Amino acid sequence: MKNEGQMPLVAVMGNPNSGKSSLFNVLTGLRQEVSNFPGVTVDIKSGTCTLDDGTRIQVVDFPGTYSLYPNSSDEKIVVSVLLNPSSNLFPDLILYVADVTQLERHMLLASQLRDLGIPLIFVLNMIDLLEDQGQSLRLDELRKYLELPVLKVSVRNRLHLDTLTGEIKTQLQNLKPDLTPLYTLNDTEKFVASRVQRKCDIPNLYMAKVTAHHSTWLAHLSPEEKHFVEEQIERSGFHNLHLQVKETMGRFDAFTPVVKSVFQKIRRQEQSFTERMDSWMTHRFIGPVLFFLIMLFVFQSIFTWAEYPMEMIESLFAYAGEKLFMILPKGLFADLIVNGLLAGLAGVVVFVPQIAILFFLISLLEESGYMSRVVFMFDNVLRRFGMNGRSMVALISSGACAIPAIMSTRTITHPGERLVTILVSPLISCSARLPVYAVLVGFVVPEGSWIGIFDYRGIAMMVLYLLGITGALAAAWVSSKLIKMEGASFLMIELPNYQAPIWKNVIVVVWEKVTSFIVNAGKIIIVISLALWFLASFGPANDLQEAEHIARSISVEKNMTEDEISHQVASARIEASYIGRMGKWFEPAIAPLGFDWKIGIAILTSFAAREVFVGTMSTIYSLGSDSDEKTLRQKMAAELNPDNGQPVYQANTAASLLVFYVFAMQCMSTLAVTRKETGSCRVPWRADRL
Amino acid sequence: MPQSVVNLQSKFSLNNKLVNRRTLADLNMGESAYISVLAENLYTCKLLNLGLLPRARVTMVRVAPFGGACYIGLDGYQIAMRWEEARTIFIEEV
Repeated sequence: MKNEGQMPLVAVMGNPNSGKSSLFNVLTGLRQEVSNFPGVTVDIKSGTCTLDDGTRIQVVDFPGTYSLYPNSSDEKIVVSVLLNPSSNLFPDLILYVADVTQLERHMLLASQLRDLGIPLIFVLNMIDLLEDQGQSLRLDELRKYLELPVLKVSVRNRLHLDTLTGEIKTQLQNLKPDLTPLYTLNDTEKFVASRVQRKCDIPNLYMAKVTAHHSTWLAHLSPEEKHFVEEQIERSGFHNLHLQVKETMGRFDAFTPVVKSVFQKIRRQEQSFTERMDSWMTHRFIGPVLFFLIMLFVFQSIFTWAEYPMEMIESLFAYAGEKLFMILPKGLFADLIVNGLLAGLAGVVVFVPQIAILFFLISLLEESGYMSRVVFMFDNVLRRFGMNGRSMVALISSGACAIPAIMSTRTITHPGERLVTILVSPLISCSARLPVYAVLVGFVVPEGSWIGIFDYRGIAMMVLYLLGITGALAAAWVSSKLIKMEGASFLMIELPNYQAPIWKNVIVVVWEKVTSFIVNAGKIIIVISLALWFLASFGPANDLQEAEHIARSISVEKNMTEDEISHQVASARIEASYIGRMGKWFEPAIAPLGFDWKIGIAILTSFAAREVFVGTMSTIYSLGSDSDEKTLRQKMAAELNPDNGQPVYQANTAASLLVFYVFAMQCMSTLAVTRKETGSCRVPWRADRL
Repeated sequence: MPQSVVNLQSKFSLNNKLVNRRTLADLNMGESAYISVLAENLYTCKLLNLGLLPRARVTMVRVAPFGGACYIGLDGYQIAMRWEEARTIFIEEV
C-alpha cells in the first residue's frame, strides 16, 4: 500500500485508439518521464499534474487494453497491476477513456474495472463528433447503469477538460464506492473466487475470480498460492477459457441495451473517407507500391531536411571551439576542453535533427492510423519468415532505433514470433548508423543525381537499408527454423479510421526520443570521447616525445612546409600513444579486410554506440571541433598506406566497412534491451518463457 | 437465449451441423451478413473484444495484398484478420 502523504496515483486506461494517450499528454504536458517501476518489467510513462486547488497527482499512462482477459504481454502488465493492490502502480482512481463512437466495445473493460472496486471516472471522448451532428446524449441512462461519474470531453478540441480536473478532485476525496457488481458470478465461479479470496487475501470477490483465471502467470502470487488456486480450479470444474467467454458475453448482453439508449446511430464522415482512402492504401497492387514510396520519402527527407540544421550545429560548435581556444590559456587543458569535451558534445547534438525527423515521420504514420494497414498488408509475407504482421511496426521503427522497436514487439502475442522479431530488428539500419554511412558512402559513390530528383548517394543509402532488410529476413527465416514455434498466432487487428494527427502527441514523442537520445547516448559518447582524447594524448613513458622528435627531424630533412610538418608530427604522436598501441595490437585481425589500426579503434569504440565511429575518426585524425563529415572525408581520403603508397580508403575498403556496419553486432544499449525483454543473455530457444 | 458461442468438439455443434454452415471466410467481396455463432477457441475472447459479437453486421471488403488475410467492415470501424480466424465465425445471410 502507498504511504500517507504520497501523491495520489491516477491511472489513464482505455482500449487502444480511444484517445487515452492524448488525454495523458494533455494532463501532463512535457513533464513526463518514462520510469522503470520496480516489480513491473516495463517502462511506463508517468507525469504529474496540479489540480486547481494545488493538489498534485501522479498520472500514469497504461498501455491500451481490451479486457481483463488479455492476449498481449502489454495488456498482461496492466492486468497484473490491477490484480495486485500492493503494487506501487495500483491506482487510487482510474480515468477510463472511451471513444463515444465505439461506445459498445469500449464499455467492456469499463464494466470489468468497475467490478474490481477501484474508483473510476468514465470519460466519453470525441464528443464533438456527436455534437457536430446536433445529437444530444442521454447520459443519465449510462450513469444509472454504471453508478459512476460519466463525463463528456473532446481531447482533440480541448472541450470540457476543466470539468474533468474538478471531478478528479472530488473523486479523490470521496470514499471508495461499494457497488453491486454488474456481472453476477455463477456457482462454480463463486466457489473458486471465494476460496481464492480468503487464501490470497484479495479485497474483492471479482478480483479473486480474475486472479483465478490468470494464476499461472501472475508474478505476485507465491508458488504455494498458485498451487492452491490450481487445486480449486481442478476440483470445481472451473473451465478457464469457457468462463472468460461466458463473462464477456454476459457483460455485452447487459450493457448493449443501455448503450443503444444513449444516442442514435452516428453518421461518421471519417468512415466514408477511410473507406475511400483504404481502397487505395490497402489495394492489392497499389497498396504495397504506395508503402515503398512512403518509405522512400521518409529516408530521403532525413537527408534533405536534416542537412541544413546539421551544418548549422557543426559551424556553431566550430565557432565555439575557436573562441574557447582564444579565451583559455594554451595547453593541455584547452586541448581537453575543445578536442575532448566539445568534440564529444558536437558528436551528440549533430544527430538530433536526423533523429527528430525520423521519429516525427514515424509517429505521423502511427497517429494517422496507417501503421495498422501496414500490419494488415504484410502479415502473410512476414509469417513466412516466422514473424507476424505486427513485426512490421518493429521493423520500421528499427529504422530509427532498435530499442523502441524491440519494446514495440510487446503487442505480438505469439512468443516465438516475438522472439524472432526481437532478434532480427537490430539488423535494420538504425539512425545512428546514418553518419557512418554518410562518411563512407562518399568513398564508394560519386556525387550527383538521377534526373535531378534522386541523389546517387541517397540511392546508395537506400541500397544499404535494403541490404539490412534482406539480412533481417534471412536471419528471421533461419531462427524461426531453430526456435520452437508453438502457441496461438493470430492477426486480428483493429484498423482505426484515418484521422489528422494530434500535434501534441507527435511533439511529445519527438521530444521524448530526442531528450532520451541526448541523455543516454550522450553520456556514453562524451565519456568515450574523453577517454579517447586521453588515450590519444598520452603514451607509455617518453614515447610520444621521442616519436615527435623523430618525425620532426625527418620532416625537416625532407624540406617540408610548416603545415606538413605539424601533420606528420600529429600522426606520429597518435601512433605512439596508448590508443595507437592498442590499434596496432588489434590490426592483424582486421588487416585482411583492408582495415588499418585506426579503423580498428573506431570499430571497437563504436560498440558503445554506432555513431561513435565518426567521432573516433575525427579524434584520431586530430580534427578537433570542426569535425564535419566533409573535412573528415578529405582527411581520410588523403590517408596513404605506408606499405604501398595507395590510399587506405579505396572504394573496396569503404564498401567492406559499410557491409560490416550493416550486419555487425549492434550497440550495447540494444544488447541490454534485448536481454531485458527476453530475460536472458543467451538465445532462449524455447520461446514459451518469454 | 440461443447459445452464441459453441465448442466445435461438443455434441451440440455436431448435432446442429454447424460445421457445414457458412463462415465469414466464405463471404464474397462486398457481401454483408450477420454473425450468428462463434466457435470457441483460444482467441474467442479477442474476437468478442474487437466487437465481433453475435448479431453484429459484417462486410467482406477486400483481400490482403499478399493474401492470407481479409479486411472486414463493421458498424463504424474495420478489422483485419486471417482466413483461419474468419473461419471460426459463422454467419447468417442478410
